[in-house]
Amino acid sequence: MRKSIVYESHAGPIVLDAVKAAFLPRSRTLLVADLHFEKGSYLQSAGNALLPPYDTLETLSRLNRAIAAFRPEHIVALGDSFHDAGVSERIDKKHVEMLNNIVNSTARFTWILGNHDPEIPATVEGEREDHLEVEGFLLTHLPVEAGPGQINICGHLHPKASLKIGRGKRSYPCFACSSSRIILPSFGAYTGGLSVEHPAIKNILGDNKFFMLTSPSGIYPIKALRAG
Amino acid sequence: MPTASITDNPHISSTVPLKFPVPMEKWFADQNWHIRDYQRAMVDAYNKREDTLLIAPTGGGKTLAGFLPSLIALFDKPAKSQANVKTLYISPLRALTNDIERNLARPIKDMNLPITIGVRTGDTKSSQRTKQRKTPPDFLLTTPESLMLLLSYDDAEEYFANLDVVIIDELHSFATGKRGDFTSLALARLKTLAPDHVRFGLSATISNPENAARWLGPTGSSAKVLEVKSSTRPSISVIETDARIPLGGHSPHYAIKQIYDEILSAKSAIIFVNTRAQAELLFQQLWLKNDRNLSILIYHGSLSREKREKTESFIASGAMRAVVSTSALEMGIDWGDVDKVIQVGAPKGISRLLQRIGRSNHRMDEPSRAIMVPCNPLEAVECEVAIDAIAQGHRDGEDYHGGALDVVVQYIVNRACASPVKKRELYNEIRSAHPYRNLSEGDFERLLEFAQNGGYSLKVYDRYQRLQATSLGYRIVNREQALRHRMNIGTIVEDAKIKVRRMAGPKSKRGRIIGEIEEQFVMNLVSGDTFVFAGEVLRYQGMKDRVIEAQPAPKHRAKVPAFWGGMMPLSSYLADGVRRVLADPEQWANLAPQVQSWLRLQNKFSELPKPHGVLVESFFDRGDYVTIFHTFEGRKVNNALGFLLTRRMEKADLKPLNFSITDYALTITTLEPVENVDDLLTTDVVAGELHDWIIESPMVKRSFRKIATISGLTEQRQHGTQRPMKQIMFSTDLIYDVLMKYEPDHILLRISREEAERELLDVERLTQWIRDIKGHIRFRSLPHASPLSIPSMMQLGKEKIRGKAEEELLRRASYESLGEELLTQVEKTLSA
Repeated sequence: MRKSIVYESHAGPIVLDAVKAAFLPRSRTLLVADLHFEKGSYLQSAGNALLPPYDTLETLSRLNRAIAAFRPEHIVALGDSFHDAGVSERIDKKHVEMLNNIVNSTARFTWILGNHDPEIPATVEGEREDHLEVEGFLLTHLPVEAGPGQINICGHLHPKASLKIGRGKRSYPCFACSSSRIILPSFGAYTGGLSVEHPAIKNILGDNKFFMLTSPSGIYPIKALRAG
Repeated sequence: MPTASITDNPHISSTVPLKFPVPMEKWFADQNWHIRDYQRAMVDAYNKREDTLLIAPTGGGKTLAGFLPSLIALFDKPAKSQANVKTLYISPLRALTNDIERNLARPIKDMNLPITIGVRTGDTKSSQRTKQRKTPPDFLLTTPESLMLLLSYDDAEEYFANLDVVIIDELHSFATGKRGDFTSLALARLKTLAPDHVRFGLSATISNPENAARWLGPTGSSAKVLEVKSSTRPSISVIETDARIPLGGHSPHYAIKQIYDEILSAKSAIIFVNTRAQAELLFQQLWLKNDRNLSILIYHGSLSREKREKTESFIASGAMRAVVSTSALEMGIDWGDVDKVIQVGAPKGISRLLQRIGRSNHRMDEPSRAIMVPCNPLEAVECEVAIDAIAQGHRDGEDYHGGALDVVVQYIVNRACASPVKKRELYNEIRSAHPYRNLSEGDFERLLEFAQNGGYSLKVYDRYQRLQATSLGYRIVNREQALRHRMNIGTIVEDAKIKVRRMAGPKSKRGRIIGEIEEQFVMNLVSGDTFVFAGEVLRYQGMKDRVIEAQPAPKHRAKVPAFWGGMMPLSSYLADGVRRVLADPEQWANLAPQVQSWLRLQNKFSELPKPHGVLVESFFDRGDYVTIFHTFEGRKVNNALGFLLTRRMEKADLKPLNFSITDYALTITTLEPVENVDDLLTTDVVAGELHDWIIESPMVKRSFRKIATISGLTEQRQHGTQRPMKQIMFSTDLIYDVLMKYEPDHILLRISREEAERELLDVERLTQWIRDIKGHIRFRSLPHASPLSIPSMMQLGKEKIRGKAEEELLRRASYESLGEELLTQVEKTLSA
């Protein structure tokens, strides 16, 4: 099964990959959204749950896998990379080191600021931006209206789609796409999904929608959801 | 073990000479009641401080027997004695506690006894709770969950210090399962707090009194068993109708006229169904038929407290003609006027059926009357087998096993909420609960560690702890953690639910909450959809603050809330019985003519299952191949077989898609045709072959979800703060995957695997079965589904297989139409 698909958009080609990352081949830019580093420890510090403390490590290891596959020259994290303002006090130094290793071994690394992380921990390297324009794409955290001819690539919404498979229904994290927008699935280990049928996604997605479902086995473009 | 069997005749009441207070003798005489032998025997047991299990038929004054010693003991209580709980009554059902309160209030009032009663359940209002904590009642009536909550408070020690009697009602429902384990730990705690109290267990149906008595007695000794044999046998028959019984599914609609006639000819009837969805549907159908406007009600656990209480009081007042109910009304409640029980759907177990039938005619010397309404031909056979088994006095066995370990974690936290506790003290207390008598020190250490800080080998997050080790012992770290724990006490893990607000009309701004339905169902509703709930058809308007708003709608076809749960496992005794009857036409005489012709049709089209071996039928149906293994071996074997066969089918490239089980059969769908099964059903089954597969299966993840909730890794209910958006709630599957990758030996994973294997699979019996059927496998390739296959085909709840079939179906669902302009190979572009 194919692990990635090239979408020849009017803003330029974009590769959508089953590891829940996107790649812009012309500028060799790797895009990931909603890493939510230290979400596990956040929930613990909020007195919530004794979650297995391995989510940051797992997210880092997924990121390394995506980097190994695409060898990007520029990596852009589309916001909500760090779960909350207290991450710098909780995160393991070794994990910061691993992260800076990634930043420094890539020609350029951009943290787009998100609602969870209006500030990136000071110990973490890489540039900070509110948004970025790369090729014909407008990269943001929250969905915004793209200019004419542009496509907005954003995160924030953690789209997932359920699909009637045989006689049952299953749901998969997905790329929610339209002629003006691509919403990336969330990348972090402890991030859930929001149904693309939810008004928060449905109402802002735009015309000519289609979905790219991701599963460990590959990526699957779906034109119309046959969700029951 | 000391056992006493009491005479069949409840009216001989002279053998145990005991002094009763004169006003009490007089009160009994005024009611025209005789104090029965076993009621005296309970007083005797109390005087001798003997823990006692009383097994007596419904309607025999069993509950009164439990309370009688306490009533006598408190008879001369000084008006201003120290206020704390003397008698604690534990019931599995909230409704039962209200009922007992009503029944006790009368003698207490009539005899002017200085006794106060308090009911403490999840339904108790907070003002009432506060009052009860300040001034404890003499008799406290509660559920295990509310009891555990009381034990988590720092005044628990004082609250229960003068405890004299603990009465556990419907003991059979506690003796097995996690809720029983949970209750046993609460009982162990009570024994520490008030070592001298007496335990009384009450039950109507128990097939294995020895085991139940050991569970009830303090560790090391059994309780005494007092068994009262019934002098009457219930009269049970299958409903008679000319209407055609559906070939599958669970709808009683075909017999709706007969059910209505049965209600008409009864003074008052309870109609038991097996699921909540069935209750809602049948209730609708009955009201469409109800041209005489009989008061027909509905009752199940998803209705709001107000709705339930209203129905209860309606039943108690005698104004009701019939109530459609799930198992929620199955136990204990003394509805004096009910003279008929109608069981809709298969009985599933003999003890359960007896329990339900016992709801009618609450006088032990008259027979109970029951009518059964099977919903498909297999259920019809099952009904006959059950009637036969009851006539022969057969009972299902209860399945006793070691206590569940996730429950221990919850108990540890509960204990540490009340006061600091030393490790050794905690270990000993837990081991004094019967299900945990063999808990190893190593397991205990790991559970304690998990309760304390998660027990992960990575220790970076050590500062986040639930328990704190102090010189006085382990204690809860702060009030927030205690609050969080208290919000989530219990062992019943439910799917996420959303409240339903009934609006008077489309314009109205206000409405009442009438209950809650599964979130999963809500997700599929769009504005304007209609659904049946709380006995009426509602139109979905929208959702506001996580509450569904809906208004009454005209009666027409509606979606029904998909209530999960309520899937009751069939007892293996009944499964065997059904297979015997099917195989032998000479035993069909009692079956309805249409069921007989269904069997003849099966014989003609395919063949009848033999008493030995297995019949396997395979056919093409709506896009994929279906293979049905008619094993008649029960759910556990069918489940294990499902895992084994789909794994082997995956290897054989048959592309299995999913499997589903019933008690009778295993159904597997594949994308490729199955031509023979001999190679699949080879005897070289090794547990290991299943093991790897199980770890990855959604089934273990389901077990994990429950275990994570009970042990407090994730929570069902949150205090104050609104429940987060669905987006933020990530599933426990993600936690499971991360834990599997980074710490595969974690205690919670071990518990999940063991539980899935124990609860859901019977590998040992499967191995034996595969050996037994060797040489007796009948494989039939058919043009379409056979009569015998239809009930399986209509079964819900499938086990999904993550394999090539999923990939292929995803690929098929994937649009190809957008064409090459959109989809080109990555490499091509990358090289451009």
